Amino acid sequence: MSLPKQLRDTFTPKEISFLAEQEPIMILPRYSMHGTTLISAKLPNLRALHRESIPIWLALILKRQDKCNIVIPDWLQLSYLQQKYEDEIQNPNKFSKLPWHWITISKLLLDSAVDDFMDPVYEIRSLIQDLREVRLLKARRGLKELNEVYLQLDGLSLIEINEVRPFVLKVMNQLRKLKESSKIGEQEMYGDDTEIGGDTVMSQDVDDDYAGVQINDSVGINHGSNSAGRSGAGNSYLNDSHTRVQGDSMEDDDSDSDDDIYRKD
Amino acid sequence: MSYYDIDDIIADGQVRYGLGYLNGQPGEPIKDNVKMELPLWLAQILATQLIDPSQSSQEEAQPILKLIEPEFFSKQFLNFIKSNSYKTNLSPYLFYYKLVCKWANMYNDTELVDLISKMLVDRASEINDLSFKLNDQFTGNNQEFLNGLDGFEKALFKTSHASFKDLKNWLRNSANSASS
Repeated sequence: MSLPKQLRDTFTPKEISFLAEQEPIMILPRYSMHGTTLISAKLPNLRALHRESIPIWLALILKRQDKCNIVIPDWLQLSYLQQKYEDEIQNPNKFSKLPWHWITISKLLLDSAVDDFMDPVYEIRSLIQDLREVRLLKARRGLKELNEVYLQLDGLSLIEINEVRPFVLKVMNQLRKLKESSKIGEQEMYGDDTEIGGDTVMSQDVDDDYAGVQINDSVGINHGSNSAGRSGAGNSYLNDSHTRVQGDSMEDDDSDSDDDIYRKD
Repeated sequence: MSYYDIDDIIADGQVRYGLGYLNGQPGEPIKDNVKMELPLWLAQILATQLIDPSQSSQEEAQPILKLIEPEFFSKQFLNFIKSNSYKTNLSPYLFYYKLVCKWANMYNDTELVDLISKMLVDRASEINDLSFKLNDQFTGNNQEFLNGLDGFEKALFKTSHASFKDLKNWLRNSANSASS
């Protein structure tokens, strides 16, 4: 791939912003106009002062052209966010349920639709900051429990997952390699009846190392990692966001995949 | 392990084990019980070859070499790790974790692997915490820890720091990219 390595591992925040813009949002058009069919969305016939639901990117364009007002979604109200903040503080082991793209959408709206907010904007901004900090702390604490097989962080948003993803994948990969190395030894041990012990030397051909790895390949590596981020494009923000990261990354070291090709001979 | 992994090959070539039983100079007769250093890949192969008992004067098949454990797997070092995983200085051994993999592979040492895994998780979470700063300068009390990281941990630190930095910069650049 011609991308630099860090871009291969995760999304950039701009890409996530792009994904978030697909979400639907309510607008209040100021004028009536005919709808058109675009490639990925359909702009319905707009009547003045009747609410319509359109994707955010379209709403932002119309807003910039002064043709509509954006209706702030329910979860971006001061009272709701304050409630969520209380929840976060009271449950130090769980994340409160926030929409999948809450950070991105709030940033987009705070930047371009400031006049559409009913509550004071600076309060909402500071609340969002606080929420993010608390969740970050919780995520860090959760990382201490890493093992090489699976990590469960329910309720994080896509951006927050994206933040920790490269780090977590590297550590999990390394843990997996460590665990596998001692397991390979055990398998060969049982296969060849060699002595067991701390300072015994294996009396086998070096080729058997590779055979051992092949056995593990079919068991350990499944490249269908179901990190929800990759399939998140169409999700409405009210869905559950259970996040499970399986032990093997979708990005493996390039050399490892080369191994598979050669070993299967 | 991965045959074509460059880091692996370098790791193989680097570490010297103290060894016995064979003097490596060609042309000289073989003396017993001499210690020498060999790179890991050579040591691994030689250690798994047995000497044919009929040719030598020993009674049973014996390996050509016996591997003596290097100092960073000694009991002392491991105890130090157990007591304080942050303070151990892994920077002289550039590829510590890879070496643990290879050693554990040869000796089926699950205990070692468990200990090292735990150490990795502890150090990794510490690395994650430290990489959160926005600017690129890291000074202060944690300098000692940061200097004591091995190659893998340094790469870990860099990726973690890069991803945090990206996100923060994006969050800050609000007004400019709003219209994009």
